Amino acid sequence: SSSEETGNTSDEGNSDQGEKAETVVLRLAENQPDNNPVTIAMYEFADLVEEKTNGEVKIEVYANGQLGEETANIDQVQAGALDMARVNSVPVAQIVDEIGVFTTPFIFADQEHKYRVLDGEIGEEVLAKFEDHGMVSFGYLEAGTRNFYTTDKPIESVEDMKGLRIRVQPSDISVKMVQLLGAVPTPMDYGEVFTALQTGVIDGAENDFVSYYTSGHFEAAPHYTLNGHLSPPALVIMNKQTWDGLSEEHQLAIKESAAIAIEAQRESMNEMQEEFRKEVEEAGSVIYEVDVEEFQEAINPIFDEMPQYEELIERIRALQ
Amino acid sequence: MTEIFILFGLLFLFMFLGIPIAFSLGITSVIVAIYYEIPLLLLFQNMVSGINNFTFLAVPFFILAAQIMTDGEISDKIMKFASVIVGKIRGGTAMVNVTSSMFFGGVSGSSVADVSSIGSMLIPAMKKQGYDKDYSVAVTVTSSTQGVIIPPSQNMIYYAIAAGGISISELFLAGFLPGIMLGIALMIVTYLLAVKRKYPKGRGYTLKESLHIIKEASLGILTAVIIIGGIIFGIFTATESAAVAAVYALLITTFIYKNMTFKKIKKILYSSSKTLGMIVAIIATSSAFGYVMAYLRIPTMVSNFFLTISENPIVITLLIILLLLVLGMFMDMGVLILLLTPILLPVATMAGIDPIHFGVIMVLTLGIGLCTPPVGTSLFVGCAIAGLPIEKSIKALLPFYLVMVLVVLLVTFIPSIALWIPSLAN
Amino acid sequence: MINKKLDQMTTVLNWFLGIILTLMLLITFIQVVLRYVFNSPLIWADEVTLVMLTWYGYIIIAILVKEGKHISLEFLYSRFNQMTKKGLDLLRNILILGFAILMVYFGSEMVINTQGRHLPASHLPRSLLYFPLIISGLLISFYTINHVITLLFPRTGREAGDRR
Ligand code: NA
Ligand code: NA
Repeated sequence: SSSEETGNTSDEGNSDQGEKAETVVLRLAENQPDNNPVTIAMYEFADLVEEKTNGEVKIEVYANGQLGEETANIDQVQAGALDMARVNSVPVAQIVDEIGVFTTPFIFADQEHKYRVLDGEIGEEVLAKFEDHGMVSFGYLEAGTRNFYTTDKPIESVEDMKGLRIRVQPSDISVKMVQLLGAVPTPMDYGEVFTALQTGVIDGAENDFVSYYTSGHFEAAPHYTLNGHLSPPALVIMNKQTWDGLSEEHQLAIKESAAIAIEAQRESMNEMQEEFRKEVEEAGSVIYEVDVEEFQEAINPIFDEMPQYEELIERIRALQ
Repeated sequence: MTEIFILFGLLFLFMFLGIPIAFSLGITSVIVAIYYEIPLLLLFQNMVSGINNFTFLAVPFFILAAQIMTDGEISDKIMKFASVIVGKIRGGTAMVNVTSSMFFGGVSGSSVADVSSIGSMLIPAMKKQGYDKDYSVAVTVTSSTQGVIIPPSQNMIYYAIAAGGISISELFLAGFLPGIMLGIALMIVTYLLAVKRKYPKGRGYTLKESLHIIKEASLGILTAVIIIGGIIFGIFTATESAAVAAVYALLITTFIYKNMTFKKIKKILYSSSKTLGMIVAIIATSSAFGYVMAYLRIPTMVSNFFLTISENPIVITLLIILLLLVLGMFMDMGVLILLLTPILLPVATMAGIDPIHFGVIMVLTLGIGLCTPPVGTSLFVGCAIAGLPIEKSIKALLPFYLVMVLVVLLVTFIPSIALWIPSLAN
Repeated sequence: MINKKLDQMTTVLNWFLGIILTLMLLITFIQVVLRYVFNSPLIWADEVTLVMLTWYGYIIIAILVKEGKHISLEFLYSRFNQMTKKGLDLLRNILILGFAILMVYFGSEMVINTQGRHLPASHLPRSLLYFPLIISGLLISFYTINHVITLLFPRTGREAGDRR
């Protein structure tokens, strides 16, 4: 963490208070560009914290991956070289094993179920585990629901996926899932995906509506299937030592601000998913409704390989 | 603004004292990080993630491919091929020089490799035929810059690395037309000057000779077809195309041209390592430097500075080009791309330039810097081969500079020259 | 004596580099064949190649320090007199040595920090990415200390650490 005297922050709101409190500056890494709802939420979070602490805690948001990519940010937060980062649960699951359960296929029946789980006891328990790994986290952001999309051949049933080269994130779960669906999981650097779709190196990829639109992938792969295989939440993580170094008041202010920002972010993210769904449809993408249960059944054997989540999964399903 | 002066002041101080550029970047980053309380761990972690980058993976393969082609005498065959096509025109050998570089540029991404392999054969040949030294150097050196813009191009890869999230394939395809355009523009100047200075025509070839030469060269030139075709038809990605090109070049030089030996391969691996090492070092420490810049929010400061000068996109674009031209005279192209992209890309985006288009503009503009004193790597190599003092090459270079700037402006203000081919790939 | 040992070590390292570069090339090439021809790409290929690239890169950085072949601007340096040049050579080696020590220190810290973490596709330990920083830092330290010694006590007549 870095503490420094900053004249410009204390001048504005509370010049009448006279005392010059030391401003705590926390740096937060965000890998999405400025216009993404997650990034907007981070700016809002920063504003709220500043407001609630009378400018005593100042969060500086570095958006657009300026401070490096996600996994590197996690390394940095854990090491204490970076104070905070907004990251997806998938890479965090490599450290905090328990959160991996939220990154399994079809774990949430619908969004209501998802929020019930995340905001309830189970979500709290998982957040508490972060402390064992030198970090803290304050709740779950909406990161969209991932679906498959393809270039030429639409996916209208599991059968259609046979032999398709689908770009996935290089995680065991994604790889295994695509294999179980009969497709060929193809690893590829994210920056290359657009051209690879265009030229036919791969037949498809998977992501939520927002990324599908902002990455321009919809232009090259106009068939979008609403199968909803993954819905991993995002989080703000913070180094535990830095957190412990804050006063209780400041900690409370951060927690409250996070809660408000998350609430707003979920709403705006969901709106944006709808908005971009319309955008891509207008641009000529075709959206396919499918029998989700068929996909679920095909993927089910994946859970045999995750005995560590058995109990958690049961509890999550019980909340449906 | 103080941050900018401290950061770049220290950097230039160390560089001018002769500290290797890579270490100047690293040491400056450390000092500035300590001064501004940036955790040092971040710098060193970024030094690793800078290299551990899939985009960068193409670079070693392209370097390897270029080395195999040079040592496997593919450049010889390309040259003969060019002389069959343009050799009989007035100023034939000069035209061969430009044309060879166009083909060589299509297989290698390095202008210095071009000057040292093609130039070392053609400059002496031109001298023997009565061409002036300064003209020979000017033609060789300026035409070699086609290599950095015609795909594949290492410098395009540096741009993709520094810009982040940009497709190299798309960038490669975008460089194709501007590169060819540059070649044609240079050929026109070359020809006009040859007519004016009454340089000789080259030799003609009989049909039988021509066919033999074309057959010999076609396998080498096929590399370019494989790279571009492979990307367009979705057989591989741009990074993979580099590996395919290297393996292909190795196969044809070994089994068809039969001039590859184990000893040569050892030498190729060794000299590729040397070239690569310099680049890896700069990529690593410039990632740390870039991190410091981002942490201090220098790109935002620079954008704001540009906006205080003018809000007119055309003025901003011209200012950027001017800045690149001036800096390109003093510093290495790769380093400039890595350092300036994070700063200038946001400004360019603000001025409404597409990131892919901007990459082409940047590489094309900095390419001119390769041929200018005081620091111009291609010019140095060219002058060294010709045995010509650098200051004596300038007069002959002037018309070429002019044409190159003209091409930069055309490509800048007619975006479709760059963006048309990538849009076709669908 | 020390020079000879360092030279021997460098020869071994050069062989190691040649082998890694060849392997990187082969893996990437085979990946294309497997994906395009057999429709079954390797999941771990990119990741493993990148680990190799990191090792390759950091070792070659060190070797170029030994040989004094990193790119530098010489137009000012070359105008100084012999004394000043020697002073600058000394300064250069000491600064690089300092930087190398930081590489070792922070490389070790990252290795410790990433204990128990794995790369997602290949499951190789994540610390493999940070080890090269330590190795390269150590190598550069040996090389620059050797250069400093030869600069201060030029017994052998061979100007190590001199350019080219
Ligand atoms: Na090229
Ligand atoms: Na040439």
